[in-house]
Amino acid sequence: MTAVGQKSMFERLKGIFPFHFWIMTPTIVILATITIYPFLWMVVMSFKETAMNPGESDKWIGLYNYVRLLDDETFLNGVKLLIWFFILCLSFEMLLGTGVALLINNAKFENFWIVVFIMPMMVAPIVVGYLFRFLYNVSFGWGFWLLKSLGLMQGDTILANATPWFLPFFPSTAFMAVVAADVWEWTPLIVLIVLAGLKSVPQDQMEAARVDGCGPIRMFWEVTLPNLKSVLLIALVVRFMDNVRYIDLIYVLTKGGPADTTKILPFYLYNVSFRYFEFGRGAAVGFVLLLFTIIMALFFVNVVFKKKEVTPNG
Amino acid sequence: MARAELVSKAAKRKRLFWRTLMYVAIGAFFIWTVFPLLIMVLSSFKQLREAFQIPAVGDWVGALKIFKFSPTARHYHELFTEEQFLPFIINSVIAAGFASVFSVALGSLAAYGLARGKIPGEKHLSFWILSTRMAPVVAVMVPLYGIFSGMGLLEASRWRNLLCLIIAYTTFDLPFAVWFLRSFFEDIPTELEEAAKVDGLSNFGAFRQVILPLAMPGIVAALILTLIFSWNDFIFASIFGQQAAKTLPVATSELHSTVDIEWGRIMASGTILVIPMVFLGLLVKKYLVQGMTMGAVRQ
Repeated sequence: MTAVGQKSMFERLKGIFPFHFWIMTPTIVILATITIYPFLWMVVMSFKETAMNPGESDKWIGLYNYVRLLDDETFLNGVKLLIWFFILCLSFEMLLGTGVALLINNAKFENFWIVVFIMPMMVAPIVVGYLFRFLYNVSFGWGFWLLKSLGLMQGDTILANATPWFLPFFPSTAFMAVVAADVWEWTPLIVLIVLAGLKSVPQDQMEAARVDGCGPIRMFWEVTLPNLKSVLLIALVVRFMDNVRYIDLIYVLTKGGPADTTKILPFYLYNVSFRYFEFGRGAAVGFVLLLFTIIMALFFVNVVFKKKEVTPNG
Repeated sequence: MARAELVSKAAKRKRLFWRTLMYVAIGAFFIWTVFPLLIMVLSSFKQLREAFQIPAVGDWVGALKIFKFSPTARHYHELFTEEQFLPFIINSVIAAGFASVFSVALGSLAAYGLARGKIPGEKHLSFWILSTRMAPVVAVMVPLYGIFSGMGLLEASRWRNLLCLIIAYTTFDLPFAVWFLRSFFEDIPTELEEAAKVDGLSNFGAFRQVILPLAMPGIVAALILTLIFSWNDFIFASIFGQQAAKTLPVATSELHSTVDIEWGRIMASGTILVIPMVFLGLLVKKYLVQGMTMGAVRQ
């Protein structure tokens, strides 16, 4: 009797929710447990002060963890550096990547260049860190030698150099060294993304522009660039989110030094949580960091869904 | 006549000039990309004394000496004898392998549901799934650490710590698999399942027998890409893997102690870390852009 009742219940449930809903449930349940639960944990934790001594328990301190971030110099410095990191990495990567993609589009050995440009992306960020640390070494680093030989380098050190690079309000030389490593690894990705976008620029538009006597430069501004817009936006957002995600490079290259000039927000969070084990404060910092990401994710979803409405099949 | 010839000659010369400039620029970017990797591989086969040799500042010809050395496999040998690297490689393979198989298996189901179903609030659901992938690693790690330690998973036990890593990798592999595979399923025409259902297949039967084989390239690409992401992870592994389930990236970072940086071994270990991933990356070359943009840009 009960078995029959259960079965009909199951049948009824199956009727209410369609098949497509059912096959999504395992993923939704798992993602919910490994994201929503930790998220709630973080919210609760951010209202507490973590006990430092065994035997004590965490103290409820309300919003104090958030309030004290406002006069925490390292935190504010971390936010500032994170914004610098975005601006510098993204502008170098986007400009260089788009430039190279335009050059190798339909050039000789295009496939060979693509194969080469795939390589840096596959390198574990931690290895990139050690690689650049090796290159930046003052006594045996080829990168240091190259900069010196080209006359681009005044100081005697790269990674311990806290003096501003280029202009007085710029981040330190060490910071630029981290940016360079990020640019090395991820510019090729922008090249490949833009290249994919270039292949989808409508040929008839190019032809029409050519018939109208468009030169290569006007062609770029009036035909190529408008068609690349959505691809470039996506590239920008993809890079943005990975920029906040990883701290491997800084962990290996500078550990936040010299004089905190490379202690960007995610690395500060790592230190607070896993060096000082102040989980309460860490949770509050993590919350601020998540805010950055959520704004960007919203933006990404809107770009993707908008693109779908314009071109239903691709 | 002669004038026209002259003009065309000038135009030709101008074009040649620009073409040369273009290839010089491509070449420069090529060198910038390959040079660090070349140094890594070369240094891993050099004696330390040779690896540390650089010419005087401005001695451009002397730079060619970088290729002059007597190759040695010493550092690789030391990695497997003195440093006992084999278990770390196995840990990496287990953690990355399980996380990727698990994520792609569940992710393909969810992706198919998202691609086909008329689900109310599809956009919100997609957004939520995406935001889990975009969350900063450290921000995810803080709560996971609290939860894992509450469950006793952080005790020094290889299998418990490996389980932590697999769960941690799933937080970014699963949402990636969903987003990436959805774009594949969307490209398969709906008429196919409809025809299969007319032939008497169930919903799931149509998915398994008709759609899945067609999406195979995408599924393989998703497996490989998630494997690469988890294999390359360092931050999660350094906290959750600890000593008992040390992965290759963590072991590499430990060659850099407070006393000394074992450059030869680091370069060798880096080469071991990178070579298989470059190989896998080239295998999925066709889907790489689609993968890295989570299905948003298609080649």
